[in-house]
Amino acid sequence: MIAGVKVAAVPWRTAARETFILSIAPLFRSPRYWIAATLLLLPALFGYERLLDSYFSLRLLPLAALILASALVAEDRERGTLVYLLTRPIDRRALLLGKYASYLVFMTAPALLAMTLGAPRSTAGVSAVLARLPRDFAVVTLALSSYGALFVLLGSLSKWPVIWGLLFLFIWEQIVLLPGVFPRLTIVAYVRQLLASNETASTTGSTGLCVSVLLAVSAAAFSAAAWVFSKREYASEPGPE
Amino acid sequence: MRPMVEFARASRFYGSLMALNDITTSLHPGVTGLLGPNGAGKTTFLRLASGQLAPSQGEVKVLGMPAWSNPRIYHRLGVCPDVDACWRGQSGLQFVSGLLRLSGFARDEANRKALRALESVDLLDVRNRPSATYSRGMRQRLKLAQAVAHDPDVLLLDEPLSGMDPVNRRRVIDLVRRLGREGKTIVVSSHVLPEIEAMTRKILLIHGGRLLAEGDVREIRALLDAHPHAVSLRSPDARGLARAIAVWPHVLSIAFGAEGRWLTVETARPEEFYGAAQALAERFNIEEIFAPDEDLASVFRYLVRK
Repeated sequence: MIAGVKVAAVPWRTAARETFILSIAPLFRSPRYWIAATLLLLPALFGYERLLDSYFSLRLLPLAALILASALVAEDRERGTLVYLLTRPIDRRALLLGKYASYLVFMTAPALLAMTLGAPRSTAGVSAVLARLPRDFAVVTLALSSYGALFVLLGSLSKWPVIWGLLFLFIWEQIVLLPGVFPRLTIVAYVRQLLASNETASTTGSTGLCVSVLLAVSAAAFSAAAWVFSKREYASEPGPE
Repeated sequence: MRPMVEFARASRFYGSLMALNDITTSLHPGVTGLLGPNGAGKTTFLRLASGQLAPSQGEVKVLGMPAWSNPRIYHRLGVCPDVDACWRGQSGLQFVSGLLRLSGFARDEANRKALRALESVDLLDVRNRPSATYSRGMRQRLKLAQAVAHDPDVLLLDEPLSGMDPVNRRRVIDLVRRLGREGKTIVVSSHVLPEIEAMTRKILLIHGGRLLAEGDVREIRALLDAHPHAVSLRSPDARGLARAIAVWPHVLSIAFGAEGRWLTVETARPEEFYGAAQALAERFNIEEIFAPDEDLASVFRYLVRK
């Protein structure tokens, strides 16, 4: 190596934080973000219970996650701005972590807003909703985290992540309707069980299992996405020379 | 002295297409021009050197380290890519300082370095304007600013003069020359020989993915001079500009292009032509000047035959 001043990559924390900050302005200018946020906000008009139901029965929350998370890398790649990020002294995995964090923060915000706005229209009464809101919000965050990590992985692997994501949501996740062990192969089954456990007071064990599975899905999918992102070429087509 | 950029029998395929074929070269401090027509392999060369692509065969090293996906090289490497892209919703200053912070600089230092880089490309006055409202030439200079802002030892510039007006073209040429004199290793690609000649005498000639020649530009100058050179200019007063140009002895023909704003001039002496055109830049408000690529491609076909 030729002698010089700095040779180490920027620390992970700094790299992820600065990527997060750098992602904010483009995110707010992206139509994708506003479409995704609208999908999360609109059901607030129909009250708290129907909001949660529409998030998972109508797949509004996973759809919103798909729209934004699948484009975290793809949008920069299509726009041509990815080269600026990839030619910085940062680990690519830290870069993806910063982007994923921006997705998570800016998707949980409209979800929390929608849940708060939906509370006064609840059939159970405002005080009952306010009591369960923190737990429900944690479940929604877990769902956004799991679906988001999965769709970031699809975005890293494929040029058509939205198509693969729709197939996952509307074909694979339908096996939740089948009896036996099949529902355990879906994300939505664990989310629904966690949301229902409020009302049916399910055992701590099953809640713990659901949380563990969703956390494991998030961690595994994000780790795989980060690995793919760190190994893959993103300037693979011959350029205009 | 160990080379700053090193290609050792490096090849690159895109599927079955060979974009770069068995390139071996070493680059040292100073400006090196990477000259070749469209599709020659210039961008692939720069993407390999900047670690965006892995070589299919051979080895590419920067600062003595493998270049491919190696974050450690980017403290000392600046890249001005060929794409015309910036993030929406950011000013020029936010764009450059944000990337500096991503390179590990603290906020104050990043701002200070960003301002200095923007000043070096004459964008200081418009630093707070959204970069999306910049003209193409201004965006080119903004890309250059982010490449030089962290004071790298190695600079890879892909067609940095493309789309610039003559005054800023001169400014960027002066900047590249100055950085080269200061000891930076700079590789600058172009398909316009006079652009390269204005910055350096050291060139790599690349065509069809192969390195045809490397050395002093004067050695191939005589061969290239035998061919007329086409130059396109855009001006709101294209007819007035044509009248002024027509009397120059080295102009062989003039043709009008789209919307009456474009002129394509054939000249026997491109170097003289570029110098003279610069003197007319303000009078006729010349907005853009470039050499159509086919021209150099024909010259290269001629060179390959020889």
